[in-house]
Amino acid sequence: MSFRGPRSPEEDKPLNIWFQRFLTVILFLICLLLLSADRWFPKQTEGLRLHVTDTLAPLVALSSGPVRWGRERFLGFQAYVQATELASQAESLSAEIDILTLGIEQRDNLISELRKNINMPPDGLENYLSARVLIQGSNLFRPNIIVNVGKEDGTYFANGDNAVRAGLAVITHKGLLGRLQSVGSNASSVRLLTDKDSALPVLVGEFRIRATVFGMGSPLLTLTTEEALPGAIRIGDRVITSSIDPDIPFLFRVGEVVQTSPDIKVLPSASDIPELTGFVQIVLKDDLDINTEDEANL
Amino acid sequence: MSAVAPLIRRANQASPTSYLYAFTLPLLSMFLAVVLGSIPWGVNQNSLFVPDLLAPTLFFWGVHQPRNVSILIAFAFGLITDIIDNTPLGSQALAYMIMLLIAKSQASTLVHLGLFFKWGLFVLSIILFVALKLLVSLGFYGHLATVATWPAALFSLQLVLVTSVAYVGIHLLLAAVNSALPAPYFSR
Repeated sequence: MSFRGPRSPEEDKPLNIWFQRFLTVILFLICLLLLSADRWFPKQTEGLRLHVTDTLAPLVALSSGPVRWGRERFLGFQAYVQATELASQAESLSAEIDILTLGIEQRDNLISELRKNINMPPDGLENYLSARVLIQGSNLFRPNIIVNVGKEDGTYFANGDNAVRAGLAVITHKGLLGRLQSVGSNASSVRLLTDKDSALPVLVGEFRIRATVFGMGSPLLTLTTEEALPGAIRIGDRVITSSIDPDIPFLFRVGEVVQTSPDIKVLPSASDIPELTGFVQIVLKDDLDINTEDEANL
Repeated sequence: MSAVAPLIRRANQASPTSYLYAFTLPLLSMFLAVVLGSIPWGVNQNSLFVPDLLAPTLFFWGVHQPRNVSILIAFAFGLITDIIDNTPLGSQALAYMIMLLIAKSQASTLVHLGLFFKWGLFVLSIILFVALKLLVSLGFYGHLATVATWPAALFSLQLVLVTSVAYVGIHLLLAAVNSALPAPYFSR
């Protein structure tokens, strides 16, 4: 017994069949050409990627709207339940809060005095621009995310230059996430710290040993240093940013040392990418002149 | 003849509109698979069990509507996925095209068989798909010692397992949609 069905009217035309075969061969060749171009001419293909990403980003944002709406309602309900429980506890804690506020004021005074002693620049030179995560890539070697901030978002420096540019730091509340890799009109690609081509100057542990962390295309970063004596870097040491790179905020959390032998490995603090309803912050380092209408649309 | 008769009946009963649906619904479901697979869910995508949603969708339509899913569609969606995932341009396009060719070549036989047989061929296809992606990536990103080969191999294995499980759910969902579409034609 044959399982084959009736003949298609199109299949009576041999030209159609030959066209399909020809198309398949051509597409295979195009794939190989694209692979070669991406390997040997990455800058040219980067432009193509950026163009397509720019076109797709609003479409993906629109399509993911219902999912985002549902998730926001769900999280809102969870937050409401938690808030109801916490409201009763808050009253009993108000007295303790007063005492702690006094302590915080004293601590702030001490911090500002210490900052003055070490000639640290005052706060306020960094501005943060919020961006929603639209797309999360799944390439292990080159992890990236795409955010909904681009050159046409109305964020300019006071001198008229566009504030959003490649190389800027992208952070979350947990720590440094990565840098802007390429900036389009409506969307930008963020290269994460774990990218195999990522490198960052850092300080390690309580002695602030100067080192560099490299992405290896795996969830952990590799740390190398020429300063440390054997045993100077221990498991649990904090890794923070150094002041070498002007685009990266100083003394910002990068991760924690989780392995010291044979190689020193660091677990990034911001290894979890914010969910669909979450935001990342882009660190801009100058006075801004933000178009408020565009900011409201963000 | 008994296996072919229901297909002929479905083809005769189908309206011109349903032929339009037979072309657009696979496209729409693939687009949804790409969107749902790429939006962030608040987890580290490499450390948790996140399936590839496009592969099962493409395979299903390759088997059930082979004439409406062109190799060009696999190429286009593969290229979009390459750009979204930041993988070497053409690597996933190549892998999806091979997967669709496998599905289409066996469609006339598989469409009459049960889920188990389709799932079996899908597992073989996804193993080939993931192995191809891994090999291209390792070759593309330079010397093996400079990249994390072992985590990548584990991640690939995890992807095969999770996507194979996801195929069953996606198949059942799309089969319900496909039951309203006209039966496909096959060559003798």
